[in-house]
Amino acid sequence: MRNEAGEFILEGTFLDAHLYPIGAGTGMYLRAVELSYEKGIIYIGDADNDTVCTGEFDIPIDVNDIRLLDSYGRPAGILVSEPARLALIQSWGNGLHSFEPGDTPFVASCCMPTPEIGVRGIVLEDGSLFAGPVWIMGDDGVALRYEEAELPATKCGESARTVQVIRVDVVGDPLFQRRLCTDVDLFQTPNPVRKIQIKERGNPVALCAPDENGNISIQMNNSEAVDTALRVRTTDEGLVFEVVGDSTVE
Amino acid sequence: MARPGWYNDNRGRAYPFITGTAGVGTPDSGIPTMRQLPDEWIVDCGFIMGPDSDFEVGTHKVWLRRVYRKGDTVSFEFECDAPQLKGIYLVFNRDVDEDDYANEFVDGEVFFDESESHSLPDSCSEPLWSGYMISGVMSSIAARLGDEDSIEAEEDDATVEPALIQNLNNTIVNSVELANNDRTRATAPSGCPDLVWPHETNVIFVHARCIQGDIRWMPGYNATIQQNSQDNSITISARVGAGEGQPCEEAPLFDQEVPPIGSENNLLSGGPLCNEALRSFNGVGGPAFTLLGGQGVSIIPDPENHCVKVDFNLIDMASCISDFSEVSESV
Repeated sequence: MRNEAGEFILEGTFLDAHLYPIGAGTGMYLRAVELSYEKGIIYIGDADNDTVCTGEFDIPIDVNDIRLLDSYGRPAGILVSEPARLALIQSWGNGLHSFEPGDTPFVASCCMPTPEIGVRGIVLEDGSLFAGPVWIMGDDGVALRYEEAELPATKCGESARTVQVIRVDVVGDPLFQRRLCTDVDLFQTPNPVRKIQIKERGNPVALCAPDENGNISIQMNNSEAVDTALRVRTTDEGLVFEVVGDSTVE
Repeated sequence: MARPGWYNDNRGRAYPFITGTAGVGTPDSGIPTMRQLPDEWIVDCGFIMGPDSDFEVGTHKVWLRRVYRKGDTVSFEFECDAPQLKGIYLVFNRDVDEDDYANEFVDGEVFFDESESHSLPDSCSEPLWSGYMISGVMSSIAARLGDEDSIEAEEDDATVEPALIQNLNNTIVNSVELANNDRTRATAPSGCPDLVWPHETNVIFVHARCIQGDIRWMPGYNATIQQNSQDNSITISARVGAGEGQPCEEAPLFDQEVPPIGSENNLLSGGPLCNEALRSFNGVGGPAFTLLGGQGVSIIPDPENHCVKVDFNLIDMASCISDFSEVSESV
């Protein structure tokens, strides 16, 4: 197992290996070893990709096993060795030491095919990966629900079938931003004025609710007193109540 | 037998255990300790850590915890120290008369140590871990291990080679769980009785668990969903009137959601309908609303009683009425 630079990996360098990177194809091989003063990285490639997983180790080497991870940080296998056996690699000096697929192939029994079928992970825009049981939660005006829907047949001889559906409703939560800006324990929803109570000489006589537009209309005349001197005017400053008549104030 | 040579080789070495953790100083006869476990008892094994196992390579390990015999059945009990696998052992059973190199595959068998309490995760019927074991020379096991005999591991005994473990932890979406956080709920005005719902509030409502298989996304009210096969992405967006259009009523967060007890408008949040909030007088809106007393009128605020008096007292007006009422109308 020798590369063009004459660097070689002895037969006993690795005692065992188990490679199972998701989506990796045939022909997995040790593609390169990158060394720096503090750490080393082993790159594993296959026939289609230069890197299907990597394994890191500290220098000086004091580990028996090198854990392999894929680009999302998911487990991808293990290389079993010993510090004394890995010392050979450490002696190469800093830099990237590359091998061709034919130089350093892994034997087939070490490579477990792990096809990339089904949903292996959900990646968000920020690159974070979710796997395992994934919780999807509606919040701040978004409501999710699970339904089973009937999917009609699309071809002759095919029957309708039931499918699983996640329905997304964007229905709003008008106060969610205000709630976010307030301590959870202190937040209280505002209470708008809903009705106006009319009293005469301290006694309630009517309870007025707004109309469908949220408006209450105040008028100063009615059918019994069309010539009242009372007036209500709307101005830029507000609602003005007044009596029409002569003033004694000059 | 597909590979007897491989198994024959393993009868003479510690494999599948790490060298030095088993098969050390094995006596010629009698019950061995776990560290002395004869090499020919187990010739191969392998384990798959499930998506929910929390297994970490390099941190956790698998070892043969116990070998015991009851009657003609010999059991090999494997243990793992991954957090989710505590108390869940893989047990392989063999009849003492069974052929050599017998193979068995088992899923994580739940075994509770009665002295400890365990809380098992909801794993949607996915095995937390599973494995296979190929037993070796059964006559050797039968000869050394009598009925009711048991061998138990001490620390670092019979540790399985790490390369025999495939770790699927966190490598697959094995289920989707749906939930909704609580909505903003109305609070009663000060001095009024609290709004009470006949169900819990301020919690996360779990809508569905363990959704597996093919899942379709459906745009509901005001929602659009776009699938891009090029970059394998799904984009969910909000747009007024999209999807199922605008809702005529609130969308429940869970199936049994109801309005607060005594609700008059049946809103799930307990809040007012749009037309129940006073937003304007004579078309003049808020948020600050000003009442002005013009000629002959005094506006008298009474904040303590949440009252505004509009006093048509004809003050400063020429009037022929001498004893006019103090308050004509108040709101």
